[in-house]
Amino acid sequence: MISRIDPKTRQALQAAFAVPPPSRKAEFLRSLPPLPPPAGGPLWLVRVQLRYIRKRVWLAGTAAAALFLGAGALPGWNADRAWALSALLPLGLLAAAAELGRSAPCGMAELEQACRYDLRQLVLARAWLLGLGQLPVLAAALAAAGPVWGAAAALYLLAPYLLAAWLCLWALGVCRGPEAPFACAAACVGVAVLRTALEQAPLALYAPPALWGWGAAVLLGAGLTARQARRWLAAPGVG
Amino acid sequence: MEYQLVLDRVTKQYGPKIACDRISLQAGPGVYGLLGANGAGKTTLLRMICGVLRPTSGDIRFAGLDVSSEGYRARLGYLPQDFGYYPEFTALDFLLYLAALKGLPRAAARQQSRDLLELVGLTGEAGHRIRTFSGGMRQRLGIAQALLGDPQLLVLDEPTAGLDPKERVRFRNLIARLGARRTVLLSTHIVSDVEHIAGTILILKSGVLLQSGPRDAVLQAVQGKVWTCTLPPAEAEALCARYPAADTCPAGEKVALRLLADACPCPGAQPAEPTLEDLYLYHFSEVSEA
Amino acid sequence: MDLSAQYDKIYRYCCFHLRDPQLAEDLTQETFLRFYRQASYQEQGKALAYLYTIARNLCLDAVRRRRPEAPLPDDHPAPDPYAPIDRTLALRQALDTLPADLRELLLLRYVNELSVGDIAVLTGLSRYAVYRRLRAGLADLKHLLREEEL
Repeated sequence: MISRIDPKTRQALQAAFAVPPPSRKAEFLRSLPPLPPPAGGPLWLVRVQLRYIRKRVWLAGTAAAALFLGAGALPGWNADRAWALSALLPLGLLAAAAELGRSAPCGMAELEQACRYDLRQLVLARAWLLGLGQLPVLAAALAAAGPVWGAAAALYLLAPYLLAAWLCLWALGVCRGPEAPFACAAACVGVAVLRTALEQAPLALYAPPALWGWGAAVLLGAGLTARQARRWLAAPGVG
Repeated sequence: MEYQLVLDRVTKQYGPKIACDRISLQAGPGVYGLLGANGAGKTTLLRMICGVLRPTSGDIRFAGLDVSSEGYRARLGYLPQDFGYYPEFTALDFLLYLAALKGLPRAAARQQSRDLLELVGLTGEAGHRIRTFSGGMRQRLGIAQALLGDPQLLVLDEPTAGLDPKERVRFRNLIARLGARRTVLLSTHIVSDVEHIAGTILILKSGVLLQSGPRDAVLQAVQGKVWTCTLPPAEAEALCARYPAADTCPAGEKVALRLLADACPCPGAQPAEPTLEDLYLYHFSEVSEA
Repeated sequence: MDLSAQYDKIYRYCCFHLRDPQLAEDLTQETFLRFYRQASYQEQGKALAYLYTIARNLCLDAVRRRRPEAPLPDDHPAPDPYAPIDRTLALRQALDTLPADLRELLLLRYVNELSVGDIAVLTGLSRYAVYRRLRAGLADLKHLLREEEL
């Protein structure tokens, strides 16, 4: 650390470097428009969005996580029942998906798009936060399903989850009006129903060879979700 | 000039339809009134200027900054033609939210929000939910949010929609004050909104910028083409079918007409000084296109 | 950023390089105009360094363009009437014996109160080099002036 100089020395230096006062300062500064506030840094938007994401989203996530953990703690919890988690997990995505795409249905997209931190940055910040909020839900489902399914639980849970995520993003891209959250709901419910139907079908879903199918479904789901996310983020508002 | 809005051959095309056709413009500080009928391309143009729509081709810059840059948007205030709100928002919440998106620190955001609510006469409604507001109140709130951050470029799309006459006068005075040091671009199909406050009139028709200039300059287009006459009703009706009528009003048993015509439309017609209403009619009446 | 305070500081900095108050004020204003035109808006700390960088480049260009045979303007504008005259004069004379780049560092750090980090960015030196030179500069000044006067 540089040794501080004492005030007398500082004063002496200021006097030694003194210059005649500027003659055109007031007029020039009056002619200048106000400077926009400085850039807030990368976490600015994240902090802003954290304040504005509705409490119900966090409550829904907490409730879902609690439900999954509770199910896993029930007496008689076994592999025959664990499939329900796989069907219900997409529904845990619903509140987050609806919140992510809130701007267009509420008519705020155009206003947000023209702001300094535009809609695209805003949605990215929201997605980051909502994604983080999904981690406890996923963890709770894994914690409940892991003991009965083992390592394969991740595949059985993520496949329908990622399919639902892809469909929600697609729905948000297609429906820009008030119907968007309903479209997301339809996507999540549809996947849940499909998963339930799959369970009822006479298929060896949990046999070792089937793991390849589940793995492929997870990879496909992840790829589709990433691609759809990129497309949607390119024009999240008015298009 | 330092803080000019410069449009260079800005075009927006949707398939075969051209919404804006090679629009070029240089706008320094002042108030610019963008006049045009519905569907003329005003909103499309303004959306491109605000970075909401990407032009098919052409350049848009303000103070040398490209429209896609954060620096451009940091100097922009925008009031869209239609806008919504998050249902749980109060008027103050709405302004604070948008202030945050404009990068204003919290203390400054709070101060400016309160000042702007006072400016638009909504101080008493700061804590009320927007869904309880009338159309005029929402519009005033929209004007307030456009002014957050003291923008150098202000773009207002149909800003007086839903305002009562008193609010309209208040708004015009506000815009006239703001236009002294800022570039204010205001689009409307209500001629009287711009008649008195716009230093430059821009006429947009079918995506093409037909005219731009001060009021007197653009009125040259209809100089010598505005006529007044007083006729019996039957003759008046016949004339109105042939020529665009700017005004008709009863005058005893006859009808007083104000018409647009290249030459004297009838014996006894007197030439009149053109107004912006006449110019608007000249460009946008269906009869004139016949 | 306090524009008024920064204007004074940039002006003082330009006077240091150019020793011509009129030209210094011209370049101060040009600095602010160019700063306003920047393409991407900087964070607060970077904004200051950027402002000084513009000023420095403008001043160095102006000094280079200045014809070599033209006499330099008077090095010492009107002294601060509130400072004890003998101390200020002695300090000025001592400063004059230091190299120009060291004088610049002293001005930036102790008069314009720029951070060591910003000075490092502006001058292209490492932070340690800035520390070292400032320390050496102060030591030189103290040596040149009798210790008890500071």
